[in-house]
Amino acid sequence: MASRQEQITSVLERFASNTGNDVAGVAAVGMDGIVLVSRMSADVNADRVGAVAATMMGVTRRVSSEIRIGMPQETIIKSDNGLFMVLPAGDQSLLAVNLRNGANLGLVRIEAREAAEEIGRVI
Amino acid sequence: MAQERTSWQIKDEAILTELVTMMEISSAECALLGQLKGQAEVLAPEMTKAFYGRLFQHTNTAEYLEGISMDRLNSMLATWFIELFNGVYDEDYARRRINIGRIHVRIGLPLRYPLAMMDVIMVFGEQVAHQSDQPDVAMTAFRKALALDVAIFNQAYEDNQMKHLADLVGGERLARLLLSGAG
Repeated sequence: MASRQEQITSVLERFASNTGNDVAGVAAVGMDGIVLVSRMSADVNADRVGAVAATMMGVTRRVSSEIRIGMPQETIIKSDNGLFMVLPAGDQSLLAVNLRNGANLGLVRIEAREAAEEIGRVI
Repeated sequence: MAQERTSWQIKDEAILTELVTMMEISSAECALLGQLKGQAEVLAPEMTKAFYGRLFQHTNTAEYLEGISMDRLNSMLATWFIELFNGVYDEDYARRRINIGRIHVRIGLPLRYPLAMMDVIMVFGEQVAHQSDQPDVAMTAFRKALALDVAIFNQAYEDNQMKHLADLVGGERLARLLLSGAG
């Protein structure tokens, strides 16, 4: 039986493979900001990304709660040179995805949702 | 990633217990300070005058005093000062002191002001300690009591800030990681 770490790694690798060049990096992160598994590029500090991704999720949940629109399913930042997506992976973790500019957002969102669900089941 | 610290696990009342224990105020020091309560009462009016005189001189602190009964403030500050020479520095003492800190938090007074005003408290507190028949020991004991108060005051502010940040980001552990520079 593969360890939890190995199972998450396998999910992230499958996700990266299915999305090809659209994804520059991906990480599974605890809601407390601790990185569980990271496949971020070398020029990115995965620990910092984990902390800010968890912060994004926390703030998004707070906003959703204040305006009574239920639990957030995803948060996307679109910037000049790329996108950053955070979505919950179960109650205790999240999936953070760094996308390249011009990425097929529709495809990545479908794959990311599936990966997040799998990670949620593992955790 | 910043390392998780055992101090992060200490919450609420346990923080006050920890601080009281950490100050290591001996029973002899407690007794010595308790014997000086009368002298503190004598100096309290002069101390409150100097204290609020300083605050009124500074525009940014004076605005917190507008429309407030100075008799009430003088009385509260005098009580606070005299209680520094209470002679008992336990959890009940710490609880009373942190409540005063929380009032300062609620009125939105920046922490730098009460901390800066410890300057006035030190001057008068040391005058009280100097009247002891063991002035050096009393001075050391007074400094411990005052340090305890500074720590408790800080705690009132940190509790408030941590609560709001933790609520915002989704948890205290994440909030502490962010504050320690991990984010």
